[in-house]
Amino acid sequence: MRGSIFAAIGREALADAVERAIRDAILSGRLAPGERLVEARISQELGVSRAPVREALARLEQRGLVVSQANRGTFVVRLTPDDIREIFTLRRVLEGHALASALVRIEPKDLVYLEELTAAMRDASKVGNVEAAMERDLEFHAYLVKLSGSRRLLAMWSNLVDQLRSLSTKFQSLYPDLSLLTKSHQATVEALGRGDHQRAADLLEAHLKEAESLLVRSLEGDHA
Amino acid sequence: MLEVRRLALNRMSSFRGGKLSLSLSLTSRAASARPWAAQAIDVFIYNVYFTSFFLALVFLYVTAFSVAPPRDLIPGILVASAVAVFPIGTYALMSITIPRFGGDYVYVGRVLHPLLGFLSSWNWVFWLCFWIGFGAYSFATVGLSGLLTALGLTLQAPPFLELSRWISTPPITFVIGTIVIAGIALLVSIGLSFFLQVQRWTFSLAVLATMAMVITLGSTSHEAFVARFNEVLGPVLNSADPYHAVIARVQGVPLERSSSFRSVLAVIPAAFLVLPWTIGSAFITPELREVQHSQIRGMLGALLFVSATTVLLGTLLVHVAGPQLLVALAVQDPSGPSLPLRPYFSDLTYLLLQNPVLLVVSGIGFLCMGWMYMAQNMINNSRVLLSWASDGLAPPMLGRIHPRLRTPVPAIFAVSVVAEAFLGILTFSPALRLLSSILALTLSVALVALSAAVLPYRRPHLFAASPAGWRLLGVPLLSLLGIGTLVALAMVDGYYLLDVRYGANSPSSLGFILLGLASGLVYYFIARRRDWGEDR
Repeated sequence: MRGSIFAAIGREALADAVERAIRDAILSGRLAPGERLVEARISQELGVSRAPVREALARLEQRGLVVSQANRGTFVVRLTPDDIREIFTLRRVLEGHALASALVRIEPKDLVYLEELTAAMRDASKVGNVEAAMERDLEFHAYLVKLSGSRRLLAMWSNLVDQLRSLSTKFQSLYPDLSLLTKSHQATVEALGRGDHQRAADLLEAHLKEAESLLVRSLEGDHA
Repeated sequence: MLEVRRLALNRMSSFRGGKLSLSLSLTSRAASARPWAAQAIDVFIYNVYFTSFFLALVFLYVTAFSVAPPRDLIPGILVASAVAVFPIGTYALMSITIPRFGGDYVYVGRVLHPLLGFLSSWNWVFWLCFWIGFGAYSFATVGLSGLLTALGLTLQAPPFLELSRWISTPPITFVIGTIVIAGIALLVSIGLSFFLQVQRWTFSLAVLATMAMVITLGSTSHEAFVARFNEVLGPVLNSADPYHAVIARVQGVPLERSSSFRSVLAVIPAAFLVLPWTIGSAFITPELREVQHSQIRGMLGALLFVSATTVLLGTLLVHVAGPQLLVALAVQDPSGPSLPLRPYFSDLTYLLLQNPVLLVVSGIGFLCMGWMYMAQNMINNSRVLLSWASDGLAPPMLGRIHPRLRTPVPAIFAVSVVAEAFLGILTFSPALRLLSSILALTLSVALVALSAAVLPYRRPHLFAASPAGWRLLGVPLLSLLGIGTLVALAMVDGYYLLDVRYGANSPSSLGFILLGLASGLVYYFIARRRDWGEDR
């Protein structure tokens, strides 16, 4: 009896580790959108049996990072322009709600932290490190969502953003001028500092719409 | 669907089973996707170079052999390596927590006080400029000159010895140094991608040179070394047995001392001339890929490399050259008139390299491992200027990035001009060549350590959101590393302040440190009043 319990725990932890490894490979761009994921090869590569790999792929499918097709196999998800529109529509709803909930909770130290993130983003943007700039950008948004105090909201938001991360390599050439992105964040923080909540919400909405439109245009270009 | 299948097939063709093939195929693709951002391997090389490794190693061995018996060298370096984990870990975690340009400027400024942050970074800028100037000066007088001397002695060719002396004359040294500074400035201006490629190539060469030195030393017996020493230096010194003559010349210094715990401890401050400085990448965090991974592996990996190489070369050197000769060379006047050989491990190794081609390759590798740090110094200083300009503490011009090269060209130019001034001072003022910056730089590290120790309590938001917000037995790891660093620095700074043999407490060194800090203070208040405006 004890033995079977430990085996179950071990498999669970293994599936977690495999899920993390595949997720990291997708999010970092090492596995490209559309790439086929072969259970046998992954299990050989990671030195584990096929069961935790199967479990990890099922979880990743639930998170929207991979898609499985009958009689074909499992593939890294390839987002379409419609997917992007859907994700950003949901992001605007979630982040708008988060910001409204956060307004009563925001303290000066939160604004200092958001300023710090914006400054770090500006540093990365200046030297053209888009990857680091995007990372700081997502940390900025994540912090605003966290400020809402709702763990479920944060989980839903993280799930959506993870799907976007699979496009991280696309972000490299997306923004012709990264300083615009930083300025938008700076303006949002300043509006929050002034207590001008409507302006902060408008800026956030505009910022997300801009990102959506750039991504959609880029993907439509790819498909064309 | 067809495209999916084609992609899958392409991927499969790159799989040849096993971990290595998959890792390689994925790595190469990731690298091509982001061709310029520094990866962990680049950060590792950057940090090895930042220690000015072989140039500093020269001084490490000379200092260690003058304060402790050679048999205590290795235990001392091993203990120092373990202790160095504290400052290096502190910088690594601080750079992950506050991933910005400027290093100390933001770490100390955001946690303790802006003025302290500025002074700490000013201290770095001042001394890194000094060391660029010193590097340009010593490139000719130590690097090139040592190589030419070795060639002259090995080939029995006096013109090389003449050339070595000629390039060590002040005007020629100044011209060579100026060319070196201009070349380095150009190299770091062209763009990070190009620079990282150069780093990798030069490092490969430097590792080859190190391996040549290790193999040469490892395959030579003590008797063979003595015979070679006498063969090469005998005609120059007019002595049949110069090896023992050099040892006999040293009067009043016990060449055979007994080992003790205290003498092992005495090696640590000497080892700290090299080991704890694998932190250069902290100044360029926004230019890295996967910061957490790169900084921790890059900094600690560099410490491991530097420690292992120091131990390996030190062990072989003591075994081959003999402890008495090393102590005798270390305690005599390094510029002694009658000995054409300096007490540098490189010069001693060159003696054994009888093949001129191998000698030249090793010499070039030695120059890379010893002098590439000038590039890292220039990059780091320019990024500090960038962060000052962001906060309105420097003219906006210094915060400008070249739109195509993505490098702060005006800031690099400004750093080069100051370094050139230091080169002039060092070339024509011999007294200042013995300046030591170790107390100044450990002061900056101490401020960062103090900031790290209190960050989780003074800036809990930063700590809570940091990917490096780890705890050990409930205590923030950052605080533990900061406190450990402060304890370590209290010990080594005690040695530097109280023991003249480390060369750190001379009145001129202390005076220059105070001058540096005072000039920083004056600049800060002028800049605050001037207020160039924040760069948003």
